[in-house]
Amino acid sequence: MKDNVTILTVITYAVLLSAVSILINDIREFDFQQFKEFQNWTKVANKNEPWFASKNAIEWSYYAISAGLFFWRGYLIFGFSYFLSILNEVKKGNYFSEKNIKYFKKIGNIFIAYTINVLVLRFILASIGKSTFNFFSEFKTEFTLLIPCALAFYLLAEIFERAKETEEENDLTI
Amino acid sequence: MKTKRILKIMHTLAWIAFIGLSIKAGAIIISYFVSLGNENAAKDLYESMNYFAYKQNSLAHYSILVLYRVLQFSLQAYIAYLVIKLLSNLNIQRPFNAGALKSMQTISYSLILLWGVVVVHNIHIGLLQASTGIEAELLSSEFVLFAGIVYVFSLLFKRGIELQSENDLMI
Repeated sequence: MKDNVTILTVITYAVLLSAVSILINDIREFDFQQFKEFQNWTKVANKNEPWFASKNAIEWSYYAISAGLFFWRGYLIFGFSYFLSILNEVKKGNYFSEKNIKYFKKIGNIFIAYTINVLVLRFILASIGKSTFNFFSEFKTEFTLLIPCALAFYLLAEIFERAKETEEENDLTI
Repeated sequence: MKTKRILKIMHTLAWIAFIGLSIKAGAIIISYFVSLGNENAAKDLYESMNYFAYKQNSLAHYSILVLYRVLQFSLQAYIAYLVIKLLSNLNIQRPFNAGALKSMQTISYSLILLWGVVVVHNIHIGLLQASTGIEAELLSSEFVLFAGIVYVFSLLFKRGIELQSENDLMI
């Protein structure tokens, strides 16, 4: 059991590190390619125009939404890092611990929150004309993996709760 | 009540995935046979899957690449079927049973097999890119992590079965 958990911990670390590096690279590219364009625009933008009027709001909201999307991607990676805590507990022999149940619920919540928020942000981004948005295809991409995974984690939390009760009953009987 | 609802939703999603993936695999097989007689069919085998350049280069390589994709979707459909079976056997009052454990282990092995198919596919098209210059579109293979996760859960399930049977013996 311990060997398998160690292998899985190493794989999880590798996946997390690659996800973080991809995210950092995307942020850097976004910074390099688009921030200059934004800076140029700020030099020529009409300062007398009210902030929330048309182009000002559109440009600023584009950057705010992009930052939001990066934040949610980071949050999803943070959610994945709970796997390490679960594996750590399993390594210690606390298979059905209270902590694991809590972590499963947390991962489920993060997956659902990510899917909903990213869909909303992409929709807003598309509505200000900076990207294309096809609700069905976007939803299909997120839906096929993250939502079923989130539901599976809620289910696992419930199953582990049952196991914990059984374990406690067993200990009491002994 | 909430858990029962989650189970029902997951069951429905698994059925949708199973039917969708089976249709996908079937559609690619039919498109492949159509493409043997009609060159242009290879341009859009399924949802803009364009293997036209591979077909023009070599029919053998084209056929093998299509076989990888059919295998990929068939394995995914099989995993969805295993999930349906697992969810059907799952009793939330007594979740740990031999059937569920076996399903989990088979899902884990199938995921590893699927990962193997994807890796072989990626190596093959990578080599073809090097020799013929056809741009390779690699398939993602991060789901090997899921194989590991499911396998560790199956080991935890094993421990759960032991606990449950100890409890039953005491009663």
